[in-house]
Amino acid sequence: MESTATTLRTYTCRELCQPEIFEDLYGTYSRKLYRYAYYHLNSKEDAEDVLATTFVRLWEYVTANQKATVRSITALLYRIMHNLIVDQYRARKPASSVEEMLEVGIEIKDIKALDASKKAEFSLVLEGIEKLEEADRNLLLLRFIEDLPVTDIADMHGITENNASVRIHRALNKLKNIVNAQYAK
Amino acid sequence: MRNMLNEHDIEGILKKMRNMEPPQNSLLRAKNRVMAFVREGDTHRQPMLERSSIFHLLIPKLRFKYMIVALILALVLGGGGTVAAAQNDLPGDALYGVKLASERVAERLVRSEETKVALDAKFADRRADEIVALEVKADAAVKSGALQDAEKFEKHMDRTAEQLKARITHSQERLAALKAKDTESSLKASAKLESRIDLWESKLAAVESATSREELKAKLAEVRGKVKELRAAFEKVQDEAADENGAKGRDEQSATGRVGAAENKLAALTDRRARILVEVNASGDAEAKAKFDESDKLYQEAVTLVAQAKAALEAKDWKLAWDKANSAFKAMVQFHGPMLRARVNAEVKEETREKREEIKEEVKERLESVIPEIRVRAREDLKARLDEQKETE
Repeated sequence: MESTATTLRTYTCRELCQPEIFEDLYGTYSRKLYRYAYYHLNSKEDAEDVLATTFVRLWEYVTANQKATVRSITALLYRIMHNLIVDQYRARKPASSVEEMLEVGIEIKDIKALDASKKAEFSLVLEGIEKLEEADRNLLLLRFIEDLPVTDIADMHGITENNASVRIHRALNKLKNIVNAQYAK
Repeated sequence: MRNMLNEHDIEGILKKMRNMEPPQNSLLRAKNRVMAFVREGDTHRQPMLERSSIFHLLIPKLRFKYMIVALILALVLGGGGTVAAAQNDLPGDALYGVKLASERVAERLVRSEETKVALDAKFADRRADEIVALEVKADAAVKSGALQDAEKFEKHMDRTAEQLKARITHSQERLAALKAKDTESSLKASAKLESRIDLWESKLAAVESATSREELKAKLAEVRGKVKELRAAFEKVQDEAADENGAKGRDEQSATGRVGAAENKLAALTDRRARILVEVNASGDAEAKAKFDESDKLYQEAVTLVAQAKAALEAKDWKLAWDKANSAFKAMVQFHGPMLRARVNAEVKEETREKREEIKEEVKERLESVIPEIRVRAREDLKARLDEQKETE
């Protein structure tokens, strides 16, 4: 059965200010948000920290604005988290290879089954993401890893859907060039 | 030469990155922090009328026995506002006594033993949450240097752990009494406990790994031991009830019920197994993985048996359906213990790794502080030798 949190379309304090529903909401979004934070920060500890702070900020927001209606909880959560990452975690740690990720307990399903060259490609993309500008990195993480619809991404950035699609395409192209430049070496 | 990657390849790799499994203990730790904050804030979020009620102002100055009077007055005059306001208080807070008293009143008002077990579970939930919230507070107090406050929170944690232990012992006794009287009710009560017990275990384990106080660690381990005993007790209730039912007759109703129950238990276990598997894999501990794989055979057996039971149900072979579902239950009960042990192994391993990382960090820091000194000395040494050489020449 779908959780109470996800079946609600719009939220107000009436729903969100209940600890049980809030806990449910944490259950629904924590994995995705952790992943988003991890790929931004390359650190298990920072990802955990920023995840907890994001939900604390959301709680503070909904309890302080009891009459406000939250249209898209997904967009709000990613926006809070992204602002925290940009403001408080400017120093990114160097990207980890697949092996390093496994070593610190970050498991990626089916990755072990890949052959060495595919694993190397995977690591190159991880490194490439790190070399992108923050805005481009964010667009790619939201679109391809978090699987957010372009509409939501456009909404989060205050741009049109068309503009969001163009920017995502450009960011993908930049990443391709970075990865291939590394590949050629 | 290798082929260059195109946009489609890159997109494919990015999509694969979605399959990342965050470490369970990181998610749990973050959740505990968030919920401790939420529950603490929740008290302050009570409507002004409740928070400023005359009872709230008076109660800190009253002795405990007067709190009961205040509680009754509050119920009669205030429509339960003070009691509601007290529900989020932590040990040491002004209205915590009211919270405990309201629990005792609730217990006295309830007649059915089955509901009493449900209340036990609910109040045990609260104690576990309070322990987590107190740990967060104690930790914050230590970090800000408020050692006296930290000590106060720790004392409350000790007491709350004792209360939780007593609650669990209570549940066990009630379950035993219920079993002697009425199998059906004892089964329902054990189902209520079963849905909560995982939460207590994970919360206690999280605090146990977070605290550095050996005394508290030992106490929490003791409470976890009690939780395990309780689990064994309700599994026994379920098992024996199954045997009894089996002896009674195997008609359509009992076979359908038994297969349905086996399916439900399997679904819950599948979820739990997946979570534990992630933890065991994340720990990278070969021994834990081997233990898990060994116990997993029983799980696979249970999956097959449940499928066979469902097939027999469709074929209207009630006896076979009942027997298969019953065997599935037995396999699931046997599977549970070793699977948990694999998890504990993994947890210990994780802790050791964290400690190792800490030591590595410390060594690195020390080296970094020593390296410039060594460089200076080497430079001086080199200069001295060069000077010496020049003099000789």
